[in-house]
Amino acid sequence: MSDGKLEREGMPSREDLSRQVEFVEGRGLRLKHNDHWVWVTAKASFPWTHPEEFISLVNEEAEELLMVESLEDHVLEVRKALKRSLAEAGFCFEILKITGVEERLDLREWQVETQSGPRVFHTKVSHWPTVLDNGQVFVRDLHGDIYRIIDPESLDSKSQERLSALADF
Amino acid sequence: MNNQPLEKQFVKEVLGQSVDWPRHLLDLDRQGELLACAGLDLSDSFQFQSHWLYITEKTVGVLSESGELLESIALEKITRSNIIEGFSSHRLSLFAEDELVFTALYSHRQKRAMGQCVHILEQLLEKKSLSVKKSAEDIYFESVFDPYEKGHGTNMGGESTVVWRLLKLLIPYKNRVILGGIAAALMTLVSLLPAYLTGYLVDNVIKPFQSGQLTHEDAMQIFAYTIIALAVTKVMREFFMWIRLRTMSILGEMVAKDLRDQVYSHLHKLSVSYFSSKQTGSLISRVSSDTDRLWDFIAFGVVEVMTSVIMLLGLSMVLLYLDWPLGLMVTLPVPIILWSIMKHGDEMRGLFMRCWRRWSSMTDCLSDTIPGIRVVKAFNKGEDEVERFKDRNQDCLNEFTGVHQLWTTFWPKLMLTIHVIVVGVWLFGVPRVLDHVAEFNATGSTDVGLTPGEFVAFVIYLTMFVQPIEVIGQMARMVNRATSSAYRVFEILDTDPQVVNLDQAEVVKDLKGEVEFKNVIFSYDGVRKILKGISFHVQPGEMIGLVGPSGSGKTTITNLLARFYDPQDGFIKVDGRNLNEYDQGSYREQLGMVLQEPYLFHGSILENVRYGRPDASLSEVVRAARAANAHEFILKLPQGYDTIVGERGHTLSGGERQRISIARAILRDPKILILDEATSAVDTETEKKIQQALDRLVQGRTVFAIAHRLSTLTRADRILVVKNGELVEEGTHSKLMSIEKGVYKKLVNMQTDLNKFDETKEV
Repeated sequence: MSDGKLEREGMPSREDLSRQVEFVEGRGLRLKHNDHWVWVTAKASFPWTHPEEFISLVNEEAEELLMVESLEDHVLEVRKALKRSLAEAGFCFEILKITGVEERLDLREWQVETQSGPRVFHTKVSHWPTVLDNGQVFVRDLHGDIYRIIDPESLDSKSQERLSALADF
Repeated sequence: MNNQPLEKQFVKEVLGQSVDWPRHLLDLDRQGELLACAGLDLSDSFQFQSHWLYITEKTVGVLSESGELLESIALEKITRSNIIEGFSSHRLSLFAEDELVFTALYSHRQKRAMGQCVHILEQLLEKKSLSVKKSAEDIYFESVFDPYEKGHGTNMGGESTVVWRLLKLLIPYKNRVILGGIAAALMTLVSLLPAYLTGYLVDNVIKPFQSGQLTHEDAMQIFAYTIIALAVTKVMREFFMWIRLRTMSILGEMVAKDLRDQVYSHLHKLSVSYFSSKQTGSLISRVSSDTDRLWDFIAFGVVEVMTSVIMLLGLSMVLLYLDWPLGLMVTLPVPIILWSIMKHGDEMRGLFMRCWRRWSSMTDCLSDTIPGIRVVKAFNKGEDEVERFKDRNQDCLNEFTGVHQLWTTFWPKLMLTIHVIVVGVWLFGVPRVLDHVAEFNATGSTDVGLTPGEFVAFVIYLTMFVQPIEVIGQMARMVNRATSSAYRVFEILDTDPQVVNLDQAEVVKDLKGEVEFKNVIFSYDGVRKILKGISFHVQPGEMIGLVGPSGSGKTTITNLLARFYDPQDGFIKVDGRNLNEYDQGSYREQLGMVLQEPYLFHGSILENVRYGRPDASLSEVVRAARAANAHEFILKLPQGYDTIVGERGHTLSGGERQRISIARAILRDPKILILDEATSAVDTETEKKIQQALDRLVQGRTVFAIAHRLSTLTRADRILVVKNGELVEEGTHSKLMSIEKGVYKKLVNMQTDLNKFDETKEV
């Protein structure tokens, strides 16, 4: 670790990262590692609280090849490339409206509208949404999909009312 | 096409997902060409879509929702696949060498189905024979339904189905139900009589006597008959009440007992995988609290609702019969009152949900800190934890205050409304009574207005109105609570064991202990493969050491050998026969296990040693304990073999518990023995004693030993080295040590270095 930046042996420094990371349309992110291009995925270490810091670039075997401490430290192309990769790995459904929350079949059924379209999902009745310090609300359904409400107070009043029994925001 | 109505119906009705596959997919399935399929439910711009990926023996294809063929890739062109997992999206990519030939996104909901597709694809790419046991449609719908099946009881239809199923439990006791039901109905009807008799007394005794129409003697005579009738109705009411309570409460207990027996015996039939996916507390609560709640519903709830409905209908008819204008005044607001009670119930439910959440948060605090009290103290966080608890406790108080504010406001308001109706009845009723009296006094006619007796009866009936309204208003909540419990109970009963005996399963009496694994593939979750085609052959009496990094699949091999799970692909043979051809119970009698965490049951040491063979003689028990190096320490205990070891054997040290578990295994005399890290949790001195005991135990048996300390495996006839679910090395200790850059050699060297480091530190 030097200068606040975590590096791996043989990894490019912050200065020349722009020549060694690129996003290939329809294919993904690649990194020049030991003079070879390697397909990698960008994973945020703190995806909800600090999404643009400590970005880990991992290969198909989930081995970390590089840690980028902060996107801000890098030139625009690198930031763009990493953000594209992050957007896919970090994608979760954003709830725009809660049209219904019911207890049904001993499960909690959520009927929501997301940025991807309308969706019905279920959680266990004993599983409550998680509320972060920054106010974001997260719900994980039985299949493992994650649903996020970035700003609960920006939801319509009915949605807020439905959410209020389940989470404090 | 094989139909799976339950899963399909669920996916359609509950998830609102289209279950109508594109025609091309259906055709492929009908023709038997479809091997697997999964939804590609996310577009590249992360919008929901209904595209389908399918696999046949020759192609990988993609269909649009309308059935248009979007992609068709020849299988021979594909060399490998890759999945990148995200939070809510996964990306599947297919490659021809390094060239990307296809990529698409899907959500977690399709993850298991896609896992199946990729598994089959890999089998095809590796030119392995496929052992697909189910149709593609079954595999698909089961995979989407699986988290629901594992999570909760959803495979039994809607709420009304559950209520009917619950009521069906009463069928074996139908005589009791009929008796209880008749008693409840009669009790309700008899309850209506005293008010009528009171009115009769006023109109036919008091009033005629007051006006001089009846003599004192006649009045007393009618009064006597009336009072006897009143007394009889009261006695009858209590008699019917007694029959009802006794019959139904005992009936409830019987049904709850039946359910507990059924659930517990079914639990023992279920596979280990079921218990891995459930919390112990939840299962215990289903057998105990949930069956108890169902007793409450069957014994009282059903009858309460039934009698309340009868009472309400009876009262309404009587009131309308006595005086229809006043009767309408009382009965018309009833639906509004019922609606307001139900609405109040909804509000209360919302508040209770908040309370429950607060309560969970408070109890989480306890379940976090009490088991971890050493850490709390070591980090001096006691005060912080107390503050955290106080905050959450305060939150609970705030929420419960809200609940109490709501119900304490609602019920007085409701009662006030009913009082208004009562006042209204008086307001309109009394002038009509006066009209009646005036008319009667003037003309002797009884046709005008309301008699005083009818009015008195009316007012008494009015007071009886509140209770059934309240019960019916709470009915939804009562049914909801009961069906929730029923779901949890029925979910256990409806779960099929994943490992089942075949119809012609052979009861095995004496095994030799020959074991063969052939291309065994296994995954716990159906997605991540833990074993990737393991093959080996073990002769009877051989001792096999299983070695590999943690998570490599060693314990999984022993779990499969014990038939806690069945492999997804490949086969396991014992003494030349497929493991699933043996009766599970008789096979496991030939199997012994000594685990890292020995489990002792509450009871004496004698009972624990004898657990696998309750008929073992005392001399056999002592011999086994001696062989396990346990006899000496047992005799040091004041009560010897009769010492009660307490729950999970907590009164004994880890090493002592382990030696008792070895004695248990020795007494069982298994032909195949599994030792899973049996010595890893004890000190060196104890390990030595346990190792001596194990050396005696392993003789003459086929042994699979997993050990953290590789030095303990040098005596093994052969060592199998497993890495990432594959068998990477196999041979004796010396043979494996001769492999340069071998995995085993590397592990041994690492451990030797670590030991040297430890010794240096101690010096």
